[in-house]
Amino acid sequence: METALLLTLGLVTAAVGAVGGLGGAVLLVPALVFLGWEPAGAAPLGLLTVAAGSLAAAREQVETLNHRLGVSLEVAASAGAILGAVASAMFSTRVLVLVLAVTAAAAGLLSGLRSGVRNAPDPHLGLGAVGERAGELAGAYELSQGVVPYRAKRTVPGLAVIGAVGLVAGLTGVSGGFMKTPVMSELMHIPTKVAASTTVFMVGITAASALPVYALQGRIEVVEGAAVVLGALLGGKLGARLQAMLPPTVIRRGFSVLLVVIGVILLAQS
Amino acid sequence: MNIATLMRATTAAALTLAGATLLLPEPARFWTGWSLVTLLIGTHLVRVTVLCAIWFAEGDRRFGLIGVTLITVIASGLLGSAFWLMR
Repeated sequence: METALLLTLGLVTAAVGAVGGLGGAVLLVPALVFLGWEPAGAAPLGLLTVAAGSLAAAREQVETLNHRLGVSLEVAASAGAILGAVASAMFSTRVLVLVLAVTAAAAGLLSGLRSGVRNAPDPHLGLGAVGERAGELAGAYELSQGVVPYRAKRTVPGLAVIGAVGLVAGLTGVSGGFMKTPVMSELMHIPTKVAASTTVFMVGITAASALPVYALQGRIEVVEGAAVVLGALLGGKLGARLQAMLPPTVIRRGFSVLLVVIGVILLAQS
Repeated sequence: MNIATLMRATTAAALTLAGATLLLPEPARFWTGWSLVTLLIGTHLVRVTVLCAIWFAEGDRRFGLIGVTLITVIASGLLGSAFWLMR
């Protein structure tokens, strides 16, 4: 019974994570705690879900995501998270979680209220242009209406905000993966689908970096872990396929609602 | 190495290991379970390493170096955590 529940939770959270571009742990961990799990045991399961969901979505999203953008932003996020973890004893985490909750809700509202499409298909571009461009944070992705080119804007502020989110994540222990998509799409003007796929790639790296620490602490239960991973592998693939079918505006609006929900969850937790 | 092929092969291996961990008795499930965790950790880090190698091979030194920086940051974080936990 517990195995079936964990498998289902892993599937649903990884699918939502792969569609919208967030880790999924931010949804799974509160759900497990609500069902009576200890937070110390739920957190590693959340990260296993993220790592598995990211892996399963990778093949479907490999044409959409921008690896160069993801690796560049992940340097700032990881450095911020390490600094935050080191400095975590010096700050009141409650206030920081509140800041993160309000920021998530505000980002969700801003993203949801924005109308129009920033990146339109270019009729001169063929399928050969799809992919990322070497040497720059730019590329093109395929939509049913044609091939859409894009180029990252405000790179330095984007890196700074992602670094700050990583810092708060390290200070509080709250995953900051859900803030990466809105920073990329709203601040850096990366198309929502590219931003979401790139976030799924990035959170996989973040999870892989944090899991060894939980393993050293003896906090990973492999049988329960296998159940959520099995669900997340199926959910990640399902979510990635769903993301490919849905129009960008639907993904953006759905994700903005999810961000507001995450903001409320964080507020309740703090 | 093709990233999509690497990801497809690893996903299949992870599915097999997860299924085996749920179905096999102890002590086999202990080993399949930890193999699964190791695979999930290793794949994402290997993925970044492969990307760096591809970018350097393509002559994209700038992003190759950014990738190396990321690997260095992650390795520093892991070593620091391990050192702190084992004090």
